Amino acid sequence: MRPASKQRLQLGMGIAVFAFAVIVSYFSVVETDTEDTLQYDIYLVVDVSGSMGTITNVGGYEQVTVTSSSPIVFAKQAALEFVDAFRLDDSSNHRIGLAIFYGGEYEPPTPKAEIVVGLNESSKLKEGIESLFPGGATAMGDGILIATKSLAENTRLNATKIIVLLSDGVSNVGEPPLLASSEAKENDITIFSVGYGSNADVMTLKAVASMTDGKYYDASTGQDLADAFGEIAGVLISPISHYSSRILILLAIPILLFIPTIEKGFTTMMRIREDKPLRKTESTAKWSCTSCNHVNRSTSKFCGKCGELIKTESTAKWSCTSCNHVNRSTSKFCGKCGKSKSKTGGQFS
Amino acid sequence: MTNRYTKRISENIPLFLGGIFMVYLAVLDETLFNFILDNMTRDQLTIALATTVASALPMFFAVGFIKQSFLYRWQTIYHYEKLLLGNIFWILTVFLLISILIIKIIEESMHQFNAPILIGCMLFSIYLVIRWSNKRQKYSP
Repeated sequence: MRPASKQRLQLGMGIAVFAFAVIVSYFSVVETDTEDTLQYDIYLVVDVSGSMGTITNVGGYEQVTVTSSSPIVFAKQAALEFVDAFRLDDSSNHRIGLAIFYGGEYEPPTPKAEIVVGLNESSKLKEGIESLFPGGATAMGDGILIATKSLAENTRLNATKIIVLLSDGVSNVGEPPLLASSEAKENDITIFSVGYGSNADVMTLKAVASMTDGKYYDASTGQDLADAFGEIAGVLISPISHYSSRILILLAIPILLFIPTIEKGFTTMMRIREDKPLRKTESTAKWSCTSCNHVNRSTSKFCGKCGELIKTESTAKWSCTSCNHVNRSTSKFCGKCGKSKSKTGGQFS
Repeated sequence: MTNRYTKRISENIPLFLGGIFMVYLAVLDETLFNFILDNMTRDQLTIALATTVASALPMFFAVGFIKQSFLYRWQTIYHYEKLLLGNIFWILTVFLLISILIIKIIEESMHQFNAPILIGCMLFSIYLVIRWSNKRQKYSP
């Protein structure tokens, strides 16, 4: 086969292998229905600091109130929709708890975090969400820590542990959030974080999610918040399994690129199996010297050891056994008596 | 061991490590996968596409660097060999690494857990640029 055709054939084979891998990977992407297969233990960790309410000035003092446009109202709505998506009843595989974090009212504020509804009290969850009221500082790290501790102590054996963290501000008291999330990571907990409004500490929330293999969601309005919670519920209820297709692609690439080497290896293997020695042409074969038996290169004309002119079967002259006439190496018949080299059994000199 | 071999090994080790780093990106890193999914509607086709791009792209370059380092006797397909000899191969690699670096910083910000990947992307890009400039000086001073 001409080299250009062979190159094209190899490229074609490579593309075919890759296309096959892509097609198989398309069919191996599975949206897993977790209704029967997976169990989730989830903690909603909600920021109920003062900024989640509406701050009004009454008689020179700042007072936190809740109006219809307060962030806590949207947070409650989003949390209720999230809970509804999991259809928590007696037959459900999932459990959801509620934790909150805030800070003391007085300076310096003391970090506070508490479990409002435990994992085993899902029936009280909606009631717990409705009862949330904002006030105080932001102790995000403590919120993560208390949920982590509860998940580590109360979780079921096969349950996947999740924290859904909502905050609208910067953590200003208590445990650093990154330290708390490394504790969550150690306990195999995944954190999905949601930053609400323009004052949310996006960098920290992103880091917290990324550290624990979760994801960060940005919400600037109440509708965005509901969408973010809905998306998290969607990801959890119908996760995607794409790892088998990924492995397939990863194997396809080296196969595609190393086709010539694979082909060569395959040919060698077949030859070994058929017990055929690899072809060694006359031009590449080494010569052994007739006088000292030193093995010389195929291109050598003289022996590298003794300096003799190399005489091999193809170059050595032969003498006729009937008349002793010395003939050229290329002669097939004796130049003197005309007898055949093969019949006389001419000896090489 | 002769100087020639020592030189060859010292030249090849960074390339080999870079290749292994890119294999790591192809196998375990989800940056490109998430980036594609976040910017497209989530369906089976998009997921398959995102998986293919996220794993095939780094692996494509990883094979090249591993081949150039210690598997230089292993022959790859003609068009890939041609690509390896040109400048475009390392330029595309640097472009891919910088893209991953930027996406990672924007999406996840910098923290202790993604620091190894960020540092890896940066160091390997710098190494490739230095290697290319040295080669350029050598052949066209």
